[in-house]
Amino acid sequence: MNDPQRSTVTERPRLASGIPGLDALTRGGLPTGETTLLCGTTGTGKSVLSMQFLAAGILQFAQPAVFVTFEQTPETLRRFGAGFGWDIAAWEKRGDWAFVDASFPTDQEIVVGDVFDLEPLIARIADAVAKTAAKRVVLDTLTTVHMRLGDAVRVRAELRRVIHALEDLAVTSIITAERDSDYGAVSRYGVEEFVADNIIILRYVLNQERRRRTIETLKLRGARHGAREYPFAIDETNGVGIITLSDISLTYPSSEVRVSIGNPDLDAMCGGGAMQGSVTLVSGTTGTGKSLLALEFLTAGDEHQDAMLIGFEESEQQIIRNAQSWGHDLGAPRESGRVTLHCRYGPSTTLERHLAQIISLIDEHTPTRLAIDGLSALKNVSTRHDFLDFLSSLTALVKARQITTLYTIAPPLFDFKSATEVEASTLIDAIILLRYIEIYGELHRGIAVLKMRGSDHDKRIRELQIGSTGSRIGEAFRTTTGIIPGAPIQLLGTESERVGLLFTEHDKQGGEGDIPAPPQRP
Amino acid sequence: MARFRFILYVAGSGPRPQATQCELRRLCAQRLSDGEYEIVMIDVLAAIDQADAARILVTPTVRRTHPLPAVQVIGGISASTEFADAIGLPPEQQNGA
Repeated sequence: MNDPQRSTVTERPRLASGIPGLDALTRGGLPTGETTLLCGTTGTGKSVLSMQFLAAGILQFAQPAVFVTFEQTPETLRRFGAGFGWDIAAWEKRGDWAFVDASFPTDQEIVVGDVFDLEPLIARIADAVAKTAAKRVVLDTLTTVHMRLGDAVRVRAELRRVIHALEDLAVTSIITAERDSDYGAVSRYGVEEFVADNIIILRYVLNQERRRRTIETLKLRGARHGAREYPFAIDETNGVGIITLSDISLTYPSSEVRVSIGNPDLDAMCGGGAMQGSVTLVSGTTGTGKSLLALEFLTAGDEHQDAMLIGFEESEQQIIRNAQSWGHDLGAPRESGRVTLHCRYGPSTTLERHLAQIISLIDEHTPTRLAIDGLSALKNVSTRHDFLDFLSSLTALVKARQITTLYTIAPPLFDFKSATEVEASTLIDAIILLRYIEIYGELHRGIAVLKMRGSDHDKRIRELQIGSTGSRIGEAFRTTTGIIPGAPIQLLGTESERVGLLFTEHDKQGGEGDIPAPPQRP
Repeated sequence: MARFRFILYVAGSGPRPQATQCELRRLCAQRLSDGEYEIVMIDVLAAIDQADAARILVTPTVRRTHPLPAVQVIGGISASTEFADAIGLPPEQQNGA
């Protein structure tokens, strides 16, 4: 692209933060040597995010850190950090981390007039930075300084000096500030006036009775950035994970290698199997065979590859029992670690946390095959928008890691063109529909490949049979129409005509053992 | 031991810190008798460790360590009366004695 506007934007040097997702969101990290204002109402995660900025610096880049605390005591913060696995006390001992304790005095404090300066604070920060050779500094939170000293012109001028001092020290810093509301003024006391160049906003918004964390880069000097809110999650073990959506993610390596979906007939319907690293969505109402397809997908990989199933609808015992009834013994593969099962209760937590947990599981087990069974359990406890965000984030992630993935989801019973399928379909490579089909008062299961990216596929709706050896794909429903709209109509009137035309010659080839052979047409 | 004990935190040793110290001494002399008070001045720039230990953020800061309870007063020594009240000095009397 030849955009003259683009070339004139001076990209400032960035400091990779090391916070998962943040660097993609900010296109490289925080502006090096500058101060970024991190604003949010109480409980939005300012402290975790800023502390993680320092911890990640130490752990990933060997960059020492200084934490200037105006509110919490260092002792409280050490404990807080320990909750995320950060051993701050050890870092302090090594000289990689220093606190500047600017928390409230234990004694009564009286402020008289406004003729004073923050010289001691500046000197103490400079001293701590010099002692640790810090590259990263956090001031948490500036709002407390205002609450303590007032917001007279003098105080603001002094805070401006503090920020200049940080820039003179050539450290990359985060300053946090409180906001009064999620969509109001940038910060209480207008702190952004003097940290105007780089502003990140955190929100914890109540939306349809569920809270959701988001992050937005309001402005970032010399940078283009995603002008929208992105979800993020706080996980006890990993800290903050920011979920960057597909539109800011990388391009995915695409593969031409086919792998089995789990059933040879289904592979054939899909033109030879799923592409390695692709994402297949199986959509079917309850009882149509979704979980079976997920299980067969799970166990179809070759034995040197790890497979993982994350289930949101059934317990581990149920999955194992079901597998047995379909002729799959999960005992040995689970023992060897080749197959892992993880069951989660959908409503137990927010989508962001679910996503963060899935990411941890993927990091831990590095599966090459991933089945996520029962996404509807998550869909039903979130808004449509949030669910689509979740789904596209997850899909972007598994694709970036080249994990061949299969999702199952139940559409609303009578909504056959579910919005989920339609909107997510740009990210999803293959869509398989499972539907009940009523033929003269009898229910049959139908299976159809609605979409198969990058190759031809069987366009017919065929019968799915489920028995003690798992799934089998039978004939096409030749004489039935209107299945997808959800109102099947039989085309022929008489029994003999119907049976005679139900299956074609073509479909009869290939050993359909337990399907009664239809009589030939006279 | 003096009844009133103060620590005065200042930044640097220029004319302003000196003036601050003079002002504090003047106030004490006005309201207390000799030997009743004691003032220690700490330059935070020269003794950062002490500023750290006392969590000093602002100069000038006056800490009254005695009598208890301790109290810390920030700023405005020039606003004499208000300041003298804040550090808990007795009201100005005819105590020329």
